Amino acid sequence: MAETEVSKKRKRPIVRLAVLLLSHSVLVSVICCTAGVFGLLLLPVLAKNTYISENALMPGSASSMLSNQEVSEANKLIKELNNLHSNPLGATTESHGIIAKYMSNLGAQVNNHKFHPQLNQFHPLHFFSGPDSGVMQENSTRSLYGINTVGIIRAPRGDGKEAIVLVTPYNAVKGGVRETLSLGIAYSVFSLLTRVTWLAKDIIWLVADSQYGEYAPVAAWLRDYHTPAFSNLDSLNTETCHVGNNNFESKISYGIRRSGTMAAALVLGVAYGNENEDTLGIYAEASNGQMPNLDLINIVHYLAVHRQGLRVKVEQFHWLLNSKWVKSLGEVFESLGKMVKTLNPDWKLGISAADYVEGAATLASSLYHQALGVPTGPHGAFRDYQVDAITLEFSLRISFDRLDRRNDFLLHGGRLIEGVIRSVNNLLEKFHQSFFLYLLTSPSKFVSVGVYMIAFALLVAPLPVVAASLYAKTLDLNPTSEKDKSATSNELGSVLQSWKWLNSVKTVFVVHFWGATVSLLPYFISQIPDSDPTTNFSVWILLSILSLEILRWILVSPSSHIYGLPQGEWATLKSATISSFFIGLGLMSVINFATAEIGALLMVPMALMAHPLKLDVRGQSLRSILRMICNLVLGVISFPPATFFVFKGVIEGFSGINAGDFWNWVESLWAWNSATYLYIGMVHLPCWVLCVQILLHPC
Amino acid sequence: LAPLAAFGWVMGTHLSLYPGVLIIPLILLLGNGPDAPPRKLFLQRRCSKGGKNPSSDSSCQEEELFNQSKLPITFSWKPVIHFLFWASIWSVYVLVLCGISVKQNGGMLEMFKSTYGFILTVEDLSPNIGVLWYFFAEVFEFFRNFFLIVFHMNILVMILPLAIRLNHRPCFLAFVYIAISSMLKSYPSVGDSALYLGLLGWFVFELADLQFSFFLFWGCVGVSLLSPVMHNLWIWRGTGNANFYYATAMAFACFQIVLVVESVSAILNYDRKLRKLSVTKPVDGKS
Repeated sequence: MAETEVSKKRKRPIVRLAVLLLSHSVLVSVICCTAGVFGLLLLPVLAKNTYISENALMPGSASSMLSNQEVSEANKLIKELNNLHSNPLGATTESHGIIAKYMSNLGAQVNNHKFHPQLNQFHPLHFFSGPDSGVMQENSTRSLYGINTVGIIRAPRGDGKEAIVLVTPYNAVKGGVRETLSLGIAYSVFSLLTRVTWLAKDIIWLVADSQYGEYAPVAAWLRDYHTPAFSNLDSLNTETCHVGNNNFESKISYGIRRSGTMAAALVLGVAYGNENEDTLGIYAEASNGQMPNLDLINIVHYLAVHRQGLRVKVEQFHWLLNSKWVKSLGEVFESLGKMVKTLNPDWKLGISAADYVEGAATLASSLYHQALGVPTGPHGAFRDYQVDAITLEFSLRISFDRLDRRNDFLLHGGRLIEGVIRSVNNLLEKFHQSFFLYLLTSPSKFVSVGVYMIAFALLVAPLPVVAASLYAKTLDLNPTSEKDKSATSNELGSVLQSWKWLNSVKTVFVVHFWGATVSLLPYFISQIPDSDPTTNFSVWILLSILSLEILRWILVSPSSHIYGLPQGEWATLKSATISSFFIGLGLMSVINFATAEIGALLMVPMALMAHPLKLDVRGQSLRSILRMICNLVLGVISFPPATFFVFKGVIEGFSGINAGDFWNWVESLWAWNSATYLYIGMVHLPCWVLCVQILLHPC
Repeated sequence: LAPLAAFGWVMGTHLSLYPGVLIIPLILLLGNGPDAPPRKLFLQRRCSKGGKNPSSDSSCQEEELFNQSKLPITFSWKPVIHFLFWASIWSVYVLVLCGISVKQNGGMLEMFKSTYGFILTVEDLSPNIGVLWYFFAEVFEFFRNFFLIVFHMNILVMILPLAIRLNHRPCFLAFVYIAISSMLKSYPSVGDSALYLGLLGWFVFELADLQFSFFLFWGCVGVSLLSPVMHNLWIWRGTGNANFYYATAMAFACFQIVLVVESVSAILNYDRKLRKLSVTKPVDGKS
């Protein structure tokens, strides 16, 4: 009676569909993988134009109030800063003193913030904790310190609960016109904002001391801003300093003044450019691929293009712009679009080949920078506190020495910043209407998560199907031969058969544990003094191979003698590998989607196609030989250092490749607490090792 | 044996209320004797020894009826009463000790309110791996008592039917009770799941035919890795919300439910298989 019930249950449509999928798993995986790759290539065509989602913003609806009066005041500040003729020791204090004087003359509240820059540290567990746990280590860098100058305008009609932040990194030691120009723009806007009547949020202007890097001062100020310390810090931090030859004492008081939650933040910078016209570069990526709300970028783009006549650019991969296959792909899509339009004029899927190439280059750059998980500018520090921030980099045609060009630039730049601040000033709530998860294909086109997730889902869907079908096949292989044996050995044998897959799971866990060890090794390797990256890299590889052999000797080999190595064991190992890789990809897609996408592109074909080479050699058919070749090629390419070197060689040419480059690249990942580093060490590398083990399986 | 068992039971119930339901498998174990084989199968074997061919089934059935009337005799009450006596001694001892130590903190009533009352009334709603906190964060005050009763009855209602069905295997009954209570209790933690997953190894032979074991294993691994990620996304990054985290808690509860249901059906299939084998092969004296 139990059997007929079971067979009745099997006729249900869902179960039938599942059985159909499992029996045609090869076809399903080929179709889904090609559809996933095709979907990814199709993304620039599917990009939509950006639009302002939050109705309260209304960018550009008010006419700008910045005039030449503020520009001339800014010129005074720039001239005074450029005329500083002091030694580097006192340059910081002197320049910050000048800036503080100008700020307080406007009526803003000024305070100096002292911070100690943290050098690169490797704390693997910081990936899982919040930003507050990055407490500085008091003993290490006491001697180095920097001073940020912060000016706050309290809104006359506001309640002091919200603030808009302007950040200008300024390196007083280096000096130069370029550094002071960003200060000039910020000062002109700041002086205007002390006099306007429409201000509803406080304005904070942070002049960050960027001698130790641009990110560190902003991160330190944010940390101190958000973690109130209830002690007499103000009285303790008053110091006197003797400046150079002049020997005058100036009392500098350190402390921190706060305003409220930050609605938005803008980081300004000026760069020398070789462009044909004035351009504005926008950098938006923060740590672990987080992006600010798209509305912030939309406001800046709208005001820059439609009001100030600047050209906006986002980062692109230039090597893709000249690549032939992207151009031919663009032409294919153009002709497809024309065909689709003849079928139905309403569908606007057409895109020109040049647009496709630009879109593909921008999309690839956006995807890569999000995948790295390293912030692309000081604005990344704001994202840890859930504040939307971007970095704006102005670059002009000609040098800044000509005064009229400089005034022009100050006027346009200042009006842009004023317009952005005026729009953000209108907000009643945090940015929440527009997208947080998107990829940019141009400054005015984006692909949202609902679209690019489909390509990823198609690419990853074959994994559980193939795992389930392999497991089902190993189940079918085993029990039939057992029925004839005697009763007592039957019991033990059948129990052991049904728990056989635990062996493969144990192998998978051991390899993942090894992956975790390999991820932690660089912490100890970097403690070796005075070693160059190439030796570090080779030491790392040697230690990894050694630890793998030790682990295999301890944990895996004793048990494999008991059960022997029947035919189907590589199938259970492959099934377990694919399941663990699927779980790893799923987890990574939640943390940083771009990393999961790139990781899936690199690893899914290899994981699905892995087949023991010995069986293929014995097979002697065209299919098995092709499979063997594919497996060998993919096996070499998917090894993380090999992937890195191949791509570097393709982009920059194979001549200048140094083995230490990979170490430097990985070091930048862990120095920024990027989850991508953990992904490479604990998901990608163990999966590669397991696939290689399947390829080399003796059977 | 009885004093030790009583001590364990009293301490378990005192520390967290739910091991109290284990009194039923304890009584069954002590009554039948700890090493007794499952009663129904024992009955079969005794019966089949007498009859060699199927035609003597009728005499077999008569013998079965005769034996059934003798059934209560194999269940001895003496160790059970011994156990209950010791349990009462231990519980009085523990309560007296508690009474002495909490005298200045408000007395015994306060202690009961903060320990058992807290577990039963679900006062604190911090997120955990269970399924109760989200629900009670949304329920209206008027219905709160009703839903409290519903959630606690959820466990209590399952005690009696399981006891009736699985009374021939008290160890497995204890396993199922632990599994259900660790899933549906008001403040579960991963340690509770670890307890019953460890006990899974006790029944390796009986659970050999557990269906979906591969899928359950990878599902549990995936959900337990996804849960801290969702927590991070919700609390630290602010791009998720409580629903993400609660979804992983619900998925975890689903996997546990499937595990319990499948293991119970696997045990029952195993018993049926043994019974069939013992009927068709009467010559083999299986022990």
